Amino acid sequence: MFKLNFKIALRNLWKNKGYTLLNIFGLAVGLAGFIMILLFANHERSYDTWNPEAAETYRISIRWAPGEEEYSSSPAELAPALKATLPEIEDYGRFYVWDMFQRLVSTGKNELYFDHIMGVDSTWFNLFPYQFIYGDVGKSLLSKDQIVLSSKASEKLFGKGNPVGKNLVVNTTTTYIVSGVYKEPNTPEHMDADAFVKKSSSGDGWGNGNFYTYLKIKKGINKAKFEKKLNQAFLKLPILKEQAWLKTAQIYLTPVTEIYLHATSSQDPAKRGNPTIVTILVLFSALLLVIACINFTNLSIAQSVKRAKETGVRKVLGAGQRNLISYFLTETIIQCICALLIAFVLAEAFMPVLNNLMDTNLTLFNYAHPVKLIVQISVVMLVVTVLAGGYAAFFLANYEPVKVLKGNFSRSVGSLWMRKTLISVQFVVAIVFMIALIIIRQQVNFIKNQDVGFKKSHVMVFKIRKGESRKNFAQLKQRLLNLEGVKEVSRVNYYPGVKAMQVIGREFEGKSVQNLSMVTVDFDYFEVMGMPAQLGRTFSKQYITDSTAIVVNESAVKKYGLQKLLGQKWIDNRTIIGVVKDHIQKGMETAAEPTGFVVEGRNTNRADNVIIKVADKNLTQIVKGVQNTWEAIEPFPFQYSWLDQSFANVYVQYVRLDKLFNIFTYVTLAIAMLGLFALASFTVQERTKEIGVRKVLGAETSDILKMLNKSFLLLIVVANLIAIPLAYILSNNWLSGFAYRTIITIWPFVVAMAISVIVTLITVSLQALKTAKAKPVDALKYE
Amino acid sequence: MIKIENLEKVYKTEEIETTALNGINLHVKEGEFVSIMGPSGCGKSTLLNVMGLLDKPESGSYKFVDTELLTLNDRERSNFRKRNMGFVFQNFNLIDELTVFENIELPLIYNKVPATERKKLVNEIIGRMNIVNRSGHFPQQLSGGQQQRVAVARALVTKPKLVLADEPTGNLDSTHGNEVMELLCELNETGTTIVMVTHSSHDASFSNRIINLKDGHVISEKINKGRTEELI
Repeated sequence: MFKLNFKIALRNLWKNKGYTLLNIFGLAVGLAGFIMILLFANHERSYDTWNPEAAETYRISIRWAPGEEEYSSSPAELAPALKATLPEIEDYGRFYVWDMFQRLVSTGKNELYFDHIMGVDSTWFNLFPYQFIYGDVGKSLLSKDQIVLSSKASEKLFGKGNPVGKNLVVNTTTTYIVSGVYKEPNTPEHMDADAFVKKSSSGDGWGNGNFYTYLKIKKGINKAKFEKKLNQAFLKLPILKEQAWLKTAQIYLTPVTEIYLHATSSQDPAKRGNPTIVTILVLFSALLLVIACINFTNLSIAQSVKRAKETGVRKVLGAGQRNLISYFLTETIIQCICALLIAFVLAEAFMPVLNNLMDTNLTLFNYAHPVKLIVQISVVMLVVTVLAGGYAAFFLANYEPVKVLKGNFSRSVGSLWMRKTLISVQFVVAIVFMIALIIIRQQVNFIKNQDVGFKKSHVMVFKIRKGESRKNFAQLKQRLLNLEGVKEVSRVNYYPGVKAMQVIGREFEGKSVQNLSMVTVDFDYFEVMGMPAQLGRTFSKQYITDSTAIVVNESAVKKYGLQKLLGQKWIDNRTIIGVVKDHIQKGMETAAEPTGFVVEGRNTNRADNVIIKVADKNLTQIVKGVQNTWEAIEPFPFQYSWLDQSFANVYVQYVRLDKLFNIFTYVTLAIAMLGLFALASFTVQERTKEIGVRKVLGAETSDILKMLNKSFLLLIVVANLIAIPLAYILSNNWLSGFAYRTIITIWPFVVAMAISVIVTLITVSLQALKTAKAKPVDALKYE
Repeated sequence: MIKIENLEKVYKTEEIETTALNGINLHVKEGEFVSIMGPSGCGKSTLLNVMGLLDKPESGSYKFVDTELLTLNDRERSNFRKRNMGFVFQNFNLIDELTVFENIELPLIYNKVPATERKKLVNEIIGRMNIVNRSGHFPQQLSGGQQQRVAVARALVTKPKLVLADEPTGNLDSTHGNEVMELLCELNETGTTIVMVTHSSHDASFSNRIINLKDGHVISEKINKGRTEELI
């Protein structure tokens, strides 16, 4: 039976090559899009899944008092204190934030910068059990001069081969001995790492909260319960008797695999993805697939007019409904499999485009979790087969043989309704896509043109690598200023676009000042950045006291009520000398944070980046001049960036989303048009005779076009009515995630509606015109 | 009223050419009831279609009163048709999705008759055709005879000068067939010109004149005396 079904199915598909191709290709496009997004989503969700201990490994984050932000950093003392009281904690590992800085690593032959050398506990590899290629894990981080390299770092420095025992000189002064090389895991990690050394601080008591603590707990322990227990244990720690302020703290645990997408703490050094974008993409690619399935269904049913008689004959000859369903499903399965194969080809071909767009390095056939992918795709194929072929199979199998043989089929009101609904659904999706695309584009343009509060063009940024350079900066500054094209020179630690900042909490005259972002700068910083004082003045060399002054932004004025404090003392005994406009630091999602600017001094962080405002002409020459000068000051390879380019990183994901949506929208619209085309051709076929009768009774071509278009336009109007509120809610929701957002106007909706109507008119008219213009006698003869 | 001269119509398919009409000459006077008879494939339906401007002949002349119809373009043909002609088909050709009332109303809509006027005309003809209680029904809820009455009503509602009937009783039993023929006769008596294609000599006996067609030629013409006398 199956063999026969298979044979007939193949013959039938071959006979209707055109439809079959449309069917398969439409589905293949939908599948390809879905598979690609699936790969991307899998990648985003695969962070740290290489770790076999991941299920038991958590990162600690703390909210020091209710209402404050949650921070993922903690004091070094915390983990050992907790482990001593809680037997559930098997092990802990910490890294120290001040160990994370760019280092110049030299083997004598090779000299390279590394950004991600982490200072960790020697227990680190118990929590993150990398596979060591060379060296012994247990002995790898016992002393301060040992360094464990990633296989990539090792290859860059030493080439292939075993480097264990060899020496490395870091920042020209410190010598390390390579103690091990581990294989880079096959899934991405929330912390990038090139190498590991022992952390430089064993903890300075409870006051230094700049450690990141990971706990490994025993298997099978409920996270929520343990979290509760952890907090109870914390409150019983002896230290709380001495340091009462710790009492309000609340400790949270984030599973290590969830840090990338779902961590809630701010000031996070970890890489952080955007779960909303992942969800949006998966959702929309699934929708794309669904409308491809709908198309498949509609095309199959449209074709079924021709098949009805065959079905009728089969029924008369004794075929049961089951045989027929299994027969039609066979046809669908053959087409689905063909579509899947084409989808693989399409996905492979367009993968570089996606990789380029999303800045990823995904491949179809070289994947960390192949079994997972195969299972996912199989499930999807099953769903697709049922979705795409199910309705058509039941529809065809349910024809009543007598009616079919009499030629009276396809007129069943129910099926027409179903097909109209399906087309409407397709258009709802397409319209939502169009509106979303327009709004995303508006928002991206809004972001790009948003007043960021500083002038970002023609500002060079590079790192100061020697402490001396900072100490003598006034002199170096003069040397830089003497260069042609250099307009202003200053220093800063957290220039706009840097997400991790220093945030302090102080008390001032009994009032608590919490969550103030502190930026350390040098004189002329505001001149380089083009941020004039709104009130008072900015730092100036003329005033000696400016080294203990503070400039605040408008948000700080608002939050702490500093309106009347201009010229007065404030926290840390600093005099507020001026107020500058808010600027955008981390991105468009977060409103400007209350920020204070101070000149580098003994009690401040280091302002370790040089920023230079340069003229807008002869850039290459200017850069060359700066490079020559700076290389004479610091004998390291010169690396610099442009502020506007590095700042663009804060919204690059939305530019990507915009581009991706572009593709989505066109594909969806194309598939929806295909569906419409099929339904229109089906309808025209079905109504040929009616059209003939109407022409006999005096209808003109235009009357017929009007009549056919009217029924479709009604569908499109209904689709618009459903899509518009849906799109409004979705985009409003999406926009609410931005502190800086565009206003939703009526235009995206009008444009989407107009496009959908025009597309419909054209598609339907193209199909209808032939029949409408034909001689009525031909239409009347049509059976 | 109708003067047809040297009408020729050829059907071409990929392999063969079939001459359906081969130099037909035919005159129909106003108020006449003409039957066209002949074996299958003799071209009688083609002739009727050409007369109804549903199909175009290759050559010849077709004058309606004094207007040459074969030189008209599509739109003019359509306009002429809807003002002057009514059609009755063997298989009724009612539109399934429309009610009896709406089916009958349709030609009036295409003739741009105002709504109130339309309602009046349709109700009038529904009354005449004795299908008042069926006006809200859909075609498939009616018997064949009733359906053909609706089709006749639809053909007549515009008060056409010429009614073309293509085997109007072909799908009906004899009782219902007779009803329809009587209807056509009544219509003819009120002055409407009728041209009917039929297989049935019984039906043809209702007409004034019978024209026999074979292989695209008129082979004979017969005045139906009984009927003519009746007329006088």
